[in-house]
Amino acid sequence: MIEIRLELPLTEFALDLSVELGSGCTGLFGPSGSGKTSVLEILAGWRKPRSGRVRVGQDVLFDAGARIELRPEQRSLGYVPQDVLLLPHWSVRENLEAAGELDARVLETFELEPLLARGVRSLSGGERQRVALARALLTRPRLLLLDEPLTGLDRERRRRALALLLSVKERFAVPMIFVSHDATDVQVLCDEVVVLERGRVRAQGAPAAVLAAQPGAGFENVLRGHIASASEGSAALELRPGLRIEVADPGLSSGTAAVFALRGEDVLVARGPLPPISARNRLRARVHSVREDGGEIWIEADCSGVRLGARVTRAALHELELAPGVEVTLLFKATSCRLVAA
Amino acid sequence: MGESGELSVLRVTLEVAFTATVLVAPLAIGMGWLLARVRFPLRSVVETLVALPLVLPPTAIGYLLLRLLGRGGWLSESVLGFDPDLLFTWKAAVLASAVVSFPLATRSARSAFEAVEPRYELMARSLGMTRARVFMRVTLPLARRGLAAALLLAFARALGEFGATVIVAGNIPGRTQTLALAIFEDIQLGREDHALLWVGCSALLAFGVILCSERLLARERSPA
Repeated sequence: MIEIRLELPLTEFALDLSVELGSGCTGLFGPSGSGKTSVLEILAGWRKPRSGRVRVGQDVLFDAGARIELRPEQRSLGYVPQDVLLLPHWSVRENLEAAGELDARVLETFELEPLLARGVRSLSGGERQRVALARALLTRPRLLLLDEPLTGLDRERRRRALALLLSVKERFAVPMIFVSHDATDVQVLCDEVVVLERGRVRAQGAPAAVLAAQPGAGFENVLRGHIASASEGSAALELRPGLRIEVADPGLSSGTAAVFALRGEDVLVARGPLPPISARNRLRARVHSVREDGGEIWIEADCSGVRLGARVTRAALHELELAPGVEVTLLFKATSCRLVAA
Repeated sequence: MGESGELSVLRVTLEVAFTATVLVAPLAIGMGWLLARVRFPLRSVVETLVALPLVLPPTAIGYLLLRLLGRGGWLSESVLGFDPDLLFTWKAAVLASAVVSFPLATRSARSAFEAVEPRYELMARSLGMTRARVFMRVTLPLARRGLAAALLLAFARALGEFGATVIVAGNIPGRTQTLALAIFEDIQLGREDHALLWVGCSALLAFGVILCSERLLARERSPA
């Protein structure tokens, strides 16, 4: 259990939060300039809050009242800031050894053997990320702090980095705080999410539920499956035996386990026979529930045992006479689906 | 003045400047780091005091050193209980050169430390290093070119030191006579050609040292 209570005036607003986090992966989500990085810097001991208390497990890292303030080197936190901060005068090996003894499992996970002798200035963006993540893990941290580790990477590198983070989460079982302003990344990676806005907690809870309520943020449909077949430019993802969806250019090979994310607003709902249409995914489903959600309608439908959600207008609800039990077709484009290796 | 006299001027000049630089190095690096990284009360007063020898007439510094080393001074035999044997020796010349080059070295060292991104130091601490270890393994290596340039500047300043040196060390050929003092003497004795030779020699030395310093700073500014 991680307890964070902080108060610190920033330039445009004051950071003022009080949260308790589980020991899995917590997403710290919010727009740029909402105070996410400041929270991580305070946790790492790089900045001092005016008041508050930070506890990780049984260890108090900071307590203004009790005058406890561990120095950064005493905190045992693995911090990967946005600019990764590999020490520029050292090689990859020296950067890693500064954190702790080289660990074969870490080197293998991040495929670092071929990079060890290289100077860090010669590394690509993706390689720098891998070295920084490995370095943070080599400190044997009680908590991993990741500040927008996927920002600035192109689509392919981003997909690979997200897959790597998922494998870190599973293989190393270290509690993580993952700062992001990308709802998909948070949903794919995190067990819970804290939404931060102008230094205050606006919401906290399970990513799907919390992020769905964030305007424009929600990838409400997050499901796990595996790649049943892959050809050039697209792949079939099997969510359940007999239920396959087509996904554009996932870059994953057949048999790979994958996490699939789709926005509710990207799902069309149709009744009756379909005209010829470009959407590659047309799934027969039965409406399970209909509810109002912030002026829009949120429909959930069962599709061979998998529940998918769609966001429609009130006019569409009435025109199609959508109600629980009604048979519909859910349509979405292969290009609307986000997919990463699980 | 014979061949050996000229050589001795060069030897004394280089020895004094080099020793003064070695003496100044740890102090200037320490003070430069303190001013660049630590916020403390009366910081601006300390900054002003450090800069003072830069603007005080060197003869005034020489006079203050004379009072310090002379009879009844803080560094005199009557106070220390033993004779430090500094006045009118090459050691006094070193002391005078060190005092006048200290502010220059400190200011340059401070700039060198300020050019090091403090977040690298914080990151090193998050990796488990103590502040002392971070200083040795991260800050110093990252500031190395700027610090080398700072020490070269101190060396160059020490090479040309005259006013304070002549007061505390005198102008003793073979012992305390440096290039600057030799030029002064030659002008006084009307040995214009000889003075010109020393001036050329001084200019060449200073040019070489400043050029090295500038090149180091240029490399510091451009990504390696």
